[in-house]
Amino acid sequence: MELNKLFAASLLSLAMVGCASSGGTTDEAATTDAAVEESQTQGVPGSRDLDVVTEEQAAMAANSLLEQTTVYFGYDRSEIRPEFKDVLNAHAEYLVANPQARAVLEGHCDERGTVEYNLALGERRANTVKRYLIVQGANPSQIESVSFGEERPAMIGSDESVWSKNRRTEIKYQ
Amino acid sequence: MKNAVFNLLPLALSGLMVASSAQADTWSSIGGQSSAKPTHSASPVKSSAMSGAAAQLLLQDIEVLKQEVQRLQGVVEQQGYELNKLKTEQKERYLDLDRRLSQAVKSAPSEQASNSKVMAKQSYTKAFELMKKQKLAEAADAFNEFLQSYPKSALVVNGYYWLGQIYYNQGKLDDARKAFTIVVNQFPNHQKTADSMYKLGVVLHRLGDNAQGKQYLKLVVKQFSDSATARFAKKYLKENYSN
Amino acid sequence: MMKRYLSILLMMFCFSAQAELTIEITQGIASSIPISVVPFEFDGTLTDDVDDIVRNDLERSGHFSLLEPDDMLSQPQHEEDIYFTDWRLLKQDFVVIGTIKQLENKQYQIRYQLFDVFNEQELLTQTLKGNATQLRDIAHRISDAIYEQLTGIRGAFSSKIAYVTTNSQRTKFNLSISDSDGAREKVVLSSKYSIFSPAWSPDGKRLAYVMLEDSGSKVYVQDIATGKKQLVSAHKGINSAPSFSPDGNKLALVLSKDGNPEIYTVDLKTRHWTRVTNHYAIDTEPNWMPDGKHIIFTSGRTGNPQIYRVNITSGYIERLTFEGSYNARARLAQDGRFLVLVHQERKGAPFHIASLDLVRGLLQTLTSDTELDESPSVSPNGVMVMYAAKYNKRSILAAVSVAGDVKFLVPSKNGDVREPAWGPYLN
Repeated sequence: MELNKLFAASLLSLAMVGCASSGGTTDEAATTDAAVEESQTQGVPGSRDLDVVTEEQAAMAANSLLEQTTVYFGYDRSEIRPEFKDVLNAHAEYLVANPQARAVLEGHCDERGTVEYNLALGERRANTVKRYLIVQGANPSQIESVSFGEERPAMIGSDESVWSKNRRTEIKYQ
Repeated sequence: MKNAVFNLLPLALSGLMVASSAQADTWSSIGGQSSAKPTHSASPVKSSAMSGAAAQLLLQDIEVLKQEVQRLQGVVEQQGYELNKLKTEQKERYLDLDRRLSQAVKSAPSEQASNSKVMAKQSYTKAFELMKKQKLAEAADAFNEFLQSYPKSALVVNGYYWLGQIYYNQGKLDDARKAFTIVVNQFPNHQKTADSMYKLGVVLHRLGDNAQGKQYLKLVVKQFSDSATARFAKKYLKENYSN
Repeated sequence: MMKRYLSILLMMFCFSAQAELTIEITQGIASSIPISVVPFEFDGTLTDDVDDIVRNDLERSGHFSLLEPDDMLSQPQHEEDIYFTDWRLLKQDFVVIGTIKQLENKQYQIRYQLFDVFNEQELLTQTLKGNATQLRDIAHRISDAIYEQLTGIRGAFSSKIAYVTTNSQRTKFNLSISDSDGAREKVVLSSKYSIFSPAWSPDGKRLAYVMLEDSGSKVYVQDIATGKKQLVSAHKGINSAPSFSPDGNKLALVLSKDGNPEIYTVDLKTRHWTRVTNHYAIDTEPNWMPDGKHIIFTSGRTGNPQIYRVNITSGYIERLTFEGSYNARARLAQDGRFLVLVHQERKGAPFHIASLDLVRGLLQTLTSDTELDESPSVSPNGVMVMYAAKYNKRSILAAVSVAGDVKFLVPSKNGDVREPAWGPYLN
């Protein structure tokens, strides 16, 4: 449900005319809007059309990144892996573009290690994501973090394929 | 988008230098302005939104530093521990040496006495433990060895008593009789005397010496009238001498 | 060491219907003391079989081997009926006999005697009274007394354990207490939220615990008798890992309201909070030392968790564990001479329970048969360690002696059991 809402919101903000301008419009967003408007009204092939296609693709790419709401961590680690930076950048951009949006970051661990240490580790995982988003421009008041330690696993089981899916931070929009 | 991030690098690094002036000093003193890293130079700087990426790099560096500090703290703690252990060991070694030296100098007779007391106790305990494990033959040997080696030990009476018990359990009644007799005759006021006397009475009875057996059992009842042993003696007399 | 593997896997216990836990003894001491507890004399039937409970208690301690009543040559109930030669023949060192009498007001009087077979001497006799529901308490007290008489160590059969049971979907959690043998389970709290880290107050009357609600973790203290629960800590961030001070007036716990987990203490009456640690790494799992002046805790300040001790007033911190890549959740023995902890020898190795001698600094791994061993706690007499583990893909409770030579499992009949905490002496 949250996902759908989010998807709709991002479509609105990125693809539809003028909508995004309500909140802190950037140069990039403005050119996108203009390009979209132009292509819709005129539909004339030309040099700008190429731009339109790439910008649309970028918007689509951003959307698919936004659909990814879980980032995963290494064992006993809490730093962001390079492969999740694009995903988090997309979320940060979304939060910047939508100041009214609120996100809760839920940190989780696998079952190995003690319950309490994992509760703390889960919080670290939520907080490194939170810091990353803030540094990328999101307002701290937009983001809450909470740790569920090893208590709410995404998958049940006792091998690395399961554990790696449980060491995570989930981004949930409210 | 990737490109945009890439373009931010120089700004990020300049931000880093501003953020920590001490570091900026070091850098310039080592390499001069732009030579720290080749990627710094060139590429025009975009405006506002880039401070995020700059801070991101700062954050990354801080994380790396934090981890490095943690690793070093671990090394320091580990080394402090090893050092302390070595210190303690060395001190113990010195104290041990000191102890041995002073022992060699003194070699006091009183110490020897207490030493033999300890050894007697050890010898006795060894025998006792064997007996508790039902290793009766070995226990008998151990008690005999104890009695021979430490005839003046305070535990000698107990030694004879248990030896008697073991022989009794093994069915070596004559040996049992000898052991109990020693307790009864030589240590009339020991805590094991009553039990030994009772057992002696039983052994004599079982050896066929009814009269003497009865005499000892009656003596137990008379001399140790309040004890549990007297109760056992009475019971035995009742069961075996009633008619 | 005299340890041998008996590996019997005997089903020792069959409880009344509502009891959830059963006990399997997996390892005992080969040189255990042979003792016979003769069925007690009683005309009629009782809800609890007193002598049977005593036999099971003593057997479970690992220090005794019990003769089955069927193997006894005679079953004397009075002193004059004991024929010691019989018991010697059966190689028994000690014999316990007893009688149960029904008095007025539904009271029972239980008298028992402990005899030394070798010396044909009475070592112990006691007369105890109680109603039908107290028969089990009386049985455990008899076990305590016999255990103390023969080993010189106070018995802990009368103490209680607290633990959390959960279904496999992890949608229902029960915080329960039971006798140390798993009998007489009583649910203290049921919740759809995860409950963990139960901690006993020193008087055994209250439990502190963590409940992980949707908004995060909170710490509660609950009175066991009345069931009244009190919210102690609901700050922003983590509220967790409670541990009572030795006088029962304060709680040490973990708060992350300042940005990362730190150890705090709170006075339960005045609600005065004091911050104890200050480090950007994880500090958690505090446990109060018996002197009331120090707290041991887990810290990740070197990159992986190790155990530290902090002086509450001076703030001086000392590291206690140096062997292993992961040492966490330490719990002290009541005399403070040693602690037990979760130990991983090196990265990738299994998690086991280890003991650390605080005087000599010696670390000894105690468990080997179970996996993912967690949350150890020591019996009040410092002899046994109860912990949670994975066994046949289920979470169960298990126990191991501090000497490492006695082991038993306490699996649940349904669902998972976690987070055991051994309670104090109840006098």
